[in-house]
Parts: sequence; structure tokens; C-alpha cells
Amino acid sequence: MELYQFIVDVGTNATKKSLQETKEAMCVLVHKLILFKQKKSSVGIVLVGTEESKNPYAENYPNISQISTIKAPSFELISEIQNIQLEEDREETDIISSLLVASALLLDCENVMKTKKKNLNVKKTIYLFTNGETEISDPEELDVIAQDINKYNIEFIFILLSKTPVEGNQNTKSATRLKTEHNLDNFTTYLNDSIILKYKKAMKTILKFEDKTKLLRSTFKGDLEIGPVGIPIVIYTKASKENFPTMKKYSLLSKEFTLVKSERSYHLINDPTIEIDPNDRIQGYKYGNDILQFEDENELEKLKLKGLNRTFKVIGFTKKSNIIRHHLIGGCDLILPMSPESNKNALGSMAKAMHKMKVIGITRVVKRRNLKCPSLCYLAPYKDPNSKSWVLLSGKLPFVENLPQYTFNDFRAQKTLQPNKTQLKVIDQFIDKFALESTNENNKNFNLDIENGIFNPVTQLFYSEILKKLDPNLENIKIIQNNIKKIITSPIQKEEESMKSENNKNKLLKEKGIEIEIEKENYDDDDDNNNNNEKEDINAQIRQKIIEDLKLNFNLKKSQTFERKRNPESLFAISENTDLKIPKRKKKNENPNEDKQEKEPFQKFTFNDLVKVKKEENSDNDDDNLDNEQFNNDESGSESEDLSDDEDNDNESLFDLIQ
Amino acid sequence: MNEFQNEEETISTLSSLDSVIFLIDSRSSMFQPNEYYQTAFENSLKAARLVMSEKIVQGGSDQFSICFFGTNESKNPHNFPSIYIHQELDVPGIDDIQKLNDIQTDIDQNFISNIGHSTNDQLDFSQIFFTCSTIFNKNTVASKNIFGNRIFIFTCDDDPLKKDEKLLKKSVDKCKELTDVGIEIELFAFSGLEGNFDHNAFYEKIISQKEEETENQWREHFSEIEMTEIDNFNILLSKVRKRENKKATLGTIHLQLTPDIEIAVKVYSSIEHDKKAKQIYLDSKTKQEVETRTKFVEQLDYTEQLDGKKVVLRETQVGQCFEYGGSYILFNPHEISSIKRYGPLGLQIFGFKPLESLKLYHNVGFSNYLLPNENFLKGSTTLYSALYQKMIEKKVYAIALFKLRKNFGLRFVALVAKEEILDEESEQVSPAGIFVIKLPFTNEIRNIPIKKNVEKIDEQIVEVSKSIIKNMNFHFESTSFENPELQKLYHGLHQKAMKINLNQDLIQDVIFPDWEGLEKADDLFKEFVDLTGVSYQTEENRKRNREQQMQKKNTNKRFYKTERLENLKSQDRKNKDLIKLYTLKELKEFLKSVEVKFKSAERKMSLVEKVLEYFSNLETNNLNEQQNNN
Repeated sequence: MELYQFIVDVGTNATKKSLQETKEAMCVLVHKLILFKQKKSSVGIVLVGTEESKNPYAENYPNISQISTIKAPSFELISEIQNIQLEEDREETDIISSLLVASALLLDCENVMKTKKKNLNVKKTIYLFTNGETEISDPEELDVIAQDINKYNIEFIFILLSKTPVEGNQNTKSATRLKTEHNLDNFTTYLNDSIILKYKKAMKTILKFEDKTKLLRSTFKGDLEIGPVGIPIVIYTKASKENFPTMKKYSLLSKEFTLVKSERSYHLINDPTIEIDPNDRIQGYKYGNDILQFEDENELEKLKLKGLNRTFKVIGFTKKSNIIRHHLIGGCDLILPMSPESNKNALGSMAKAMHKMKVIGITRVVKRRNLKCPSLCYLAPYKDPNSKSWVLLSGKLPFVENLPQYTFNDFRAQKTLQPNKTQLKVIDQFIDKFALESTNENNKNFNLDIENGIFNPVTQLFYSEILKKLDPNLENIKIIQNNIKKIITSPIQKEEESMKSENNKNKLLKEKGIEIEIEKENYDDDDDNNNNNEKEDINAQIRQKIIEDLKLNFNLKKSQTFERKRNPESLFAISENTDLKIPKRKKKNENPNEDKQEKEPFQKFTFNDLVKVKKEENSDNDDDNLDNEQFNNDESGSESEDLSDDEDNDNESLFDLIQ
Repeated sequence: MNEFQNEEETISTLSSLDSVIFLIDSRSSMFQPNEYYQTAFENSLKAARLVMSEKIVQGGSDQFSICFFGTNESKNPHNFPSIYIHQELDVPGIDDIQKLNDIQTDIDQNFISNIGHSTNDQLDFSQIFFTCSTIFNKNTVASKNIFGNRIFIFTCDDDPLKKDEKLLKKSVDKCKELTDVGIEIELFAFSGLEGNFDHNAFYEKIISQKEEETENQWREHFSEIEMTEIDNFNILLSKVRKRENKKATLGTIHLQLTPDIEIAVKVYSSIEHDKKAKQIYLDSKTKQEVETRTKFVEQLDYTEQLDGKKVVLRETQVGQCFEYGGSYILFNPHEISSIKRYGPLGLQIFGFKPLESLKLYHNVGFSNYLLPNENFLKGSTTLYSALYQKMIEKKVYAIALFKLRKNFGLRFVALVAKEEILDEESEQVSPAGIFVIKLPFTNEIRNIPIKKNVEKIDEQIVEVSKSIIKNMNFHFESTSFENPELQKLYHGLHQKAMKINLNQDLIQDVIFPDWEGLEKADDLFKEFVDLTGVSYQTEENRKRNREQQMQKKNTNKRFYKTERLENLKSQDRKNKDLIKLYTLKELKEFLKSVEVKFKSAERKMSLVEKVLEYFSNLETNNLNEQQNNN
């Protein structure tokens, strides 16, 4: 169980902007909780600096209001968050008291929960959002307070919102802000479990969607039978394919929201007007042109394989090379010993022996009783990188029926089409220089590890679209969707596009007489990587040369049919409008051009949108340039117009924003 | 939605429809028994029949025709001599298979006396080809769904024209006409009495009438047959099978190395789904096929107010919504499909990784096979080949983003180059080329905490394990095992169709270890058990234990069942909700016990109705009886 308490600063020093930022962060946080941990988390919201004092401890801690008690995250909570406003009558913010109230509320909630279930594991977290324009009272007592709070095992996350600009100078922080930052820094040193995050950095992690955490549930418990030997094992799923989230249907016709049920009816194929009662049907099989009728249930039963028992039996061992990697059928199981303490690690020894002899086991697997068919599985030794213990992996193998029955001609048979030496050399270099190294931190583009942070982009996009539906004005959606786009853009492409855009930018800046160095100063985060960047630049140049070589050496000519087949229209097409529109059905004789017009609701990202996003990312200042006014779609006299002129194709320019 | 979930299924149903004419030589030379006492004619017929019936039980809808040439009788639309169309081009049915079976079981009676051999040894192949094209043409009028038309020639005569130049020219011209419309001709040659089959004599002239581009490939393929004269039936069967199954590509996509450099590749599936005959429903009265239709109905609370009329919607009038924190988020159909279509089509290479980093569990879904498509993009083969060679040489694989069709999901894949794999009979198990292995996303891999073992691995146990492994070693191939479930279904359907009673035990689940071999290694197993303390049970023990457990469970269950059934009988008999609580099986059992008739596909609600009806009948009967008594 995870409990969260959000503290929102709405006191005299809070600004509209700081509140907006707070709302966005909370919105995304709650959104993620609803999607992934709805049943395992509860959230409460406390406002600090209100005129009222609505909290159970109001006597000692005034001007703190609990607007939402700790409850399961829901759709209403998001609208509650959106309804938070800055009142006209506000009071001074007392951050420390609000922390104390929030902790007390969390503890109360925990106690209530524990009365129902004693051994409940509760994780408590407090998020404090402040712009730091109010001083912390009694900074000398922070260590004493911290000692008190430490008892309760609460995690504190302080999020420092963007600074309020001091008049005259955009980039300096106010004196109070500096003081608060210092005090909070001190406070975190006293606290056991706490962190200070600046808004931009915090958003980077908050905006990363993950996916549901899954329960570990064993799929089989029993003996691994090797001859008469039975080693007790437990099987867990290691990898399996996941589907798009399930959805329900609703009617587009009726004005009120009504769910739609699908009903089945049965008709004669020869005369669809005659409906058949489902109970008047009998089963049959198609046999070529004829139909085999099975009126008797027993006859049908004869077609089935019966009497299968649960088993995990080794048929034999075979050379590793006999298993063809691309013949494996998806999914993989992990086999662990039932109790690692007993049996002197029989499973581990067996796995190690298999590894040493380079063999793989072939097994007959029936995980549940009365399954239709036993499955043929492999059994491979696997050394767990964390615990260094030997276990087994298992996955399905195909039967003869699953293998295609045809032979392919060798593509190398046409001798005239084989590559020459220089062509091979270019490919050789290409493979070398475009290696993906998961450990290479210097090159952010060229490390990709599917086990780390590569989530299904389609599902992620879906989740972000939901967020967009909740509040179309949220500015961070673009960033989320950009992150998704980054995942599915090849590093080669990223690099090429970034080089192009760099050149363009430089050209533009030169034209406008602005020196490039000023731009560079603004990079806060990447200062440390300057040396690496230089190295990278050289590497990137080498790569560009290889690409040129490739183009020169391989004479690739497109045929017209192929061009027609590709449809760039589907690239990155994201629906922009949220209104409900019933799509028209395509007519056969319609002009293809008209077709395109119909699809217009799916606007591509226009170039202006892209520039906007790009700007947001470029500005690594604490100051946020997210304001709409600054980057509205005004087409006159902005950089964007000049840039878009340089690009022939809108689609290509998409990749500009990836740096 | 459905499109997305059934990604794999849609692939399998896309395989193309084929039509094949089996052109079987029926002159007397085909009836000479070989060393296995089989005649070439019998073998060809048997192969044709088996391939046809196999296709049927696998649910294929390919069309077949059987045509004999060199016959005494003739039956064809043009009244050409010596050409006998035995079976018109159509999806075969029970009768067709039965007829072929009849001919094969008694060739003398059913073939020689009815159809007979032609006395003239010289054949006019142009007439034969003309007949074939008529057979195909007739069909294309009826249905347009035909992709591949092929002619399989079975013969043992290498020179049927007897060196007649005129006939040769005519035949070659006619053959060119056929190949121009995309009809393929395949030859299955038997070595005749005079020894080897000479392809140069006649057939090479027909079969090499191919487009120039593929000539090289074709020649190689041609020589393959040349090397092995088909005498053994099994070899013939497997050859016919391999030719019969046409390679169906899933489509051509582009493989992108960089944004500007791309090649065209054809995608094939390297694993297929289980193929089964289609299960259907029939109307019990008319015995006609029934189709299922789905309609969308609004779930209204006030349906009754609308005179019980349901609001039926069209598919375009239905949107999708997502249950979200106690509320629904609405999407219109366009939005959902645009989300699902997200991402670029084709294959984009991201970079290369060493092969060791590709773990065994990095595998979801079925893998695909890529071949260059030179027709779409000139130069594809060269780059593909270079990539293949270098990837094997450097032991790397490429990570790429894969999207086969617009409405298919995105997936990261590993492109792995593999050399050709042949089995013991040097038949291809897996071709050379680049394979697409689908990788899981981070959320699809689970992090399972593995406890560190308290005890270190004892080398002595490892040694014993090694000798156990040595004892249980066997040669495994991907083609080693048949799917017992499918085989049982195939045989069952075949039996039902042919109305024969084969022994059902013929089809057995054979996925078991070699018991005899295990007995030899018994000492090793005992040693392993002694060292580790795991359980030792012979297979009989296991069986007995299992049976005992089952009995226990069953007795419990039976007791439970009878108790429930008794309860059902003494239930408040008008309470529908209570009867609903019983399972379908229990209701069926109950209805059987009280001798009420019901149908196999009957649904639970109707069974509940029947139970209710039975009780109400019972009550009225009781009342009547009471009245009578009174």
C-alpha cells in the first residue's frame, strides 16, 4: 500500500504560475497512480496558506486546509486538483507546520488501515510544492523537528517550483528563495529519507510513464521429472506479450452516455433473414466442400486428446545447436527450486552441468490438468546476474505442423547481385560505428537496452492521450509525446537530424548577427559532458562519412510500385481534436484525394508545434518559457517560419526536435 | 481493437488460395512396379490424395483438379483424345477423396477397365496444356479469389513427343502462353524402365520458360529434382507437399539503414499457427450452415419503456471508452485507430549489438524471415547479402523497430543472420538469411527476485548430473515431434468422412522419454537422489500416486456432486436464481438423470429453463395425482 500526501502552497507569496506548475505535476502523478496503482495507493491533498483552517489539528496549526482526505486516486481527484484556485484572502505559508500536519494525517490513515489488516506494508510519501518565496520559520529548530519526523518512516520530496523573477533581472533568485533553499537543504540532511528536486528535473521523472506492476504468481508448482528423479520446482513467467488496454464500447448516437453491449445472433448462410435459436444448433466441421455433422457429443469428444496429467518431464537432452533460435514460440518461463535451502541445490547443479556440456533439455509440459494438448518446451541453463545462482529457463518449441512446409531458394544464387569487396568493407565499418552499447554513457543516442526504460510506445501514447482528454490545456503532454517519439526514432536518424538542425540554427543565428557562444552558455546540465561532446562530434562526423560511402557504393533504385506502397501519412499521426465525430464510410468510387481530406482530423504535428516543443526543451534555465503567449502560433516574423522554409517536407522536420 | 489483439491470427489467414492440377501420365509404362512393388501411377495418385485430404483437415480452401493423360477413354470439353479429366477444379469434398481411394485400392477394376491406357505412345502436349488452361479459365469466372495456378506433371516418360519437331514447337508455344499468365508448371519425374530420366529431351524446354530474372534460381531448383529420381513414395510425398505449399509473403516493407538508405524486403513467417479444419454450427432442422453475426445494442435501462425495442447500432456508431478512476474516458473510433497506427511503417535499424547480449528470454511472438525484393528496389539483394555476410562474420545482431502493417503494433526486434540448416536427409529445415526475432518491451520482462542459494554447488553432484545428461542425450530436430492434438483431430475427421473405423489408439501422444534408456541409467539416478535428497519415483509409482490423488479428489467431488444434485432436486423449485448457480455440467447431468432431452450446443439459460419446466411439470403432475386420489 502506498500513501501520498500532496502539500500545495497557496499562501500570500504563491503566484499563478507556481500554482499552475503544481497542478500539472499533481495531475500527472495522480494520473499515473490511477493507471498503474489504483488499488494499491491513496492520495490526499493539503493546502497551506489558506484563510480557513480545515484540519483535525487546526488548534495548533492554523491556516492549513485538507481539501481532499486520503483516498483512492480517482477521476474526481483530478477535477479537485483542477479546481484549486488562489483565493483573495490568503495567509502566510508555514511550510514546517504543513509538513507536520501532513505527516500526522498519513499516520492516522495508516493506523486505520492497520486495524483491518495487521501486517500491511505501508509506504508513506509527502510531496511538497513550493516556490520558496516564503521564509521558513525557526530554521534553528529544524534538526529537532526532523528527529521527531524521522520516527515515522516517511519519504519527503520537496519540489522547488520555478523561481519568481525579480524585477529588473530575469535570472537572479530572490533573497528569500535563496534562504529557503538553504534551509531546506539543511532540513534534508537531518531527515532520513528526503530529496529536493527542481521543477524541471522533477518533471522529467514524473513525465516518464511506466506500466502496471504485476504480481508475481507462479504458473506451476511440482516436480521437474528427470527419469525417476523429481526435483521440486516453481515456475514464474519471465517474458510474455502484453496487449493494448481493454476498453468498453459506448454509443455515439445517444445523447447521454450509454454503454453498448454486443449481442450475437445466428443466421442461415444461405438465407440470412432466418434467425436460428442458439439452442437449435449442432456442431460440425468443414471437410473441404462438405460438412461433417457431429450430433452426438461423444463423437466430438473422440476428436480431442484426453486424460492429460500435470507434468514437467524431461524427454532428453540435446546439443544446444539443435535448437533453432527463430523457431522458438514467444514467451519464456523461469524455473526456480521450490525451496532453495533444501536438496543441496539439485536444480543448480543440473543447470551447471547442462551449461558445461552445452546441452539443452527437451521437455513435455502440461501445466494444468485437462489441457487440450501437451506442449514441447526447451530447458536451458541460466545464470542470474544478480544472485549468481544457476536456474533454468523454459519456453515453447514448435511441432512439425508449425513449421512452414516450403523451401526457399538461396538469395546468394544470383552471382551478379553479390556485394564486392568495397561494399563489404563499407558495411563492415557501418556495423562497427553504429554499435549500440548499453554501457556507453558518453553517447546518449547510441545506447539502447530493451530491459531498461523501453516501454510500449503505443500504450504510452494512449495513456498520454487520456491525460490530454482530462485537461487539454496541460502543457506537458507535448513533452510526454515527444519522449515517446524519441524512443521510436532511430539514433542514426536522430543524429542526422540534429546535425541538420544544428547547421540550420547556426546559419540562422549568423544571419541575425547573434553569436553562437551565447547560446552555448545556457546549457546548464550538460556542462560536465563538454569533453565527451567533442569526442562525440568526431564520431558523428565519421558516421556521416560512412553513410555517404554507403550511398556511393550501393546503387539503390526505387521502383514506382514500392513508392506507392509506403504511406508517410501514417507516420506520427496523432489525433488533435477531441470532439466526437462520426467518421464517414468510404465509398468505393471516391476520388483518393477526397479520402485524404476526410482524414484531416488527424493533424500531423505542424512545424510550429514542433518549434514550440523544441524551445521548451532547449531552455534549460530554471525559468520556464512554457507560456503560451510567447510561442503562440503566430506566423509572422518568428524563427519558425524561416526554418520551415528550409525544410521541404514537414514530415522530415519532425526529427528536428530530437537532439 | 480486435485487429490489434489478433495480430498473429490475421497474418495466418492471409495465406493465399491456390489451385493445382495434378496431371498424371496413365500410359502403361507408369504401371510397372518398382523395387518396392509400387507403381509410379499408384504413387502419384496416392500422393495427390494424401496432399488433398491433408489440406482439407487443415482447413485449407485450395482447389484441386485431377487429370489423366495418355488414356484410352477421353473426357474433356474439347474432345481431345487421350485426356481424361477425372476431377474438375474445385475444393475437394468427401466424394472426391473416396473416388480416388477407390481407384487406388483396385486399379485394375476401377481404372484400367474403365479408362484404360492409350495405345498411342506419342502425345500432343499442346492439347494437354490447352485443356489445363480451360480448366483454370472456367474457374476464374466462378471466383476471382485465385492467386497461384499450378500444374503438377507426374510422368516417367522423358520424351512423350517422340522427337516430333512440329509437336514440340506447338507445345512450347502453348506452354509459354500458360506461363505468361502466371501459371507455374512443376515436374515430378520417375525413372523409367530404361533408366534415368533425361530432362533435356523435352521437359527442360517447357519448364525453363521462365522470366529471365529468376532463371538462375530456377535452374538450381530444377537440378534439385534431377539429382534424385523419385522412386520412394515418401520422398515423392514430401516433395509434392513442399511444392504444394506456396510461399506466401506477408508483404514487402522497407528496411531502413539510415533515413536515406533503404532496401525492400519480403517478410515471411518462420512459424505458422496450428491449422485446423473450420469448426462450424449447423441448424439442427435443415442441416444448413449457420453464421454468427454480432450486433451492437445500447445497454439502456429504459429499454422496456421503448416497447422492448432494442437500439441496434452500426459499427461506425460505436465508440470506445476506457474505465478510468471510477469514470469513463471517451474515444471516438478515429482516435483509437490513430493511436494504434502510431509509428513509422517498415523496419528501422537502430544499431548493432554483439550476439551474446541476445538472451533466450528476449522472445515474444513468432519470428519472421526476410528476403530481399529486387523487383521493388534495385540493389536490395546486394546490400542484404553484404549485411548478412558481415553480421555472421562479426557475430552481431541489429536492433530495429518493426511495424509490418498500418494497424499492427510497434515492436523492437532483433535482426539475426543465420546460415542454412539442413536435416539428415539434406532437406531444408531453415533457410539462410536474416530473421526477425521480436523482443519484449521493458514492461513485458518481469524481474523475478532469485534467492541466493545457501549451499554452493557441489561439484560431485554436477559430475553425476553430467553422466545423467550423457545417458539421456538424443538428436533433436525441430521436425522431431508431431502435435498429438492436431493429429488426433485430423484422423478423427478423416475417419468420420470416410466412414471407417480406425483404431483410435493409433494416434498416440508420443512426447515421452525413452523409458528403456532410462532404466539403464537407474544407478546414476539413485546416486543423484542420494546426494541431493530429492524424491525418487518410478513412472509406475507416479501413476499410482496420481491415481490415488485423483480418486481422493474424485470421491470428494463425487460426494460434493451428488450432494449438489440432491440439493437441486429438493431446491425451491421456482427460484431461477438458485438454479442459475449450478454449473452447465451439473445441469446437463441433472437433465440426463431425469431423462429430459437437450442439445449438445445448448446454452446454460435454456438448460435452466428446461429444469424449471421440468419442475413445474412435476408439480402439476403431483397435483393431478393428488386430485385423482381425492
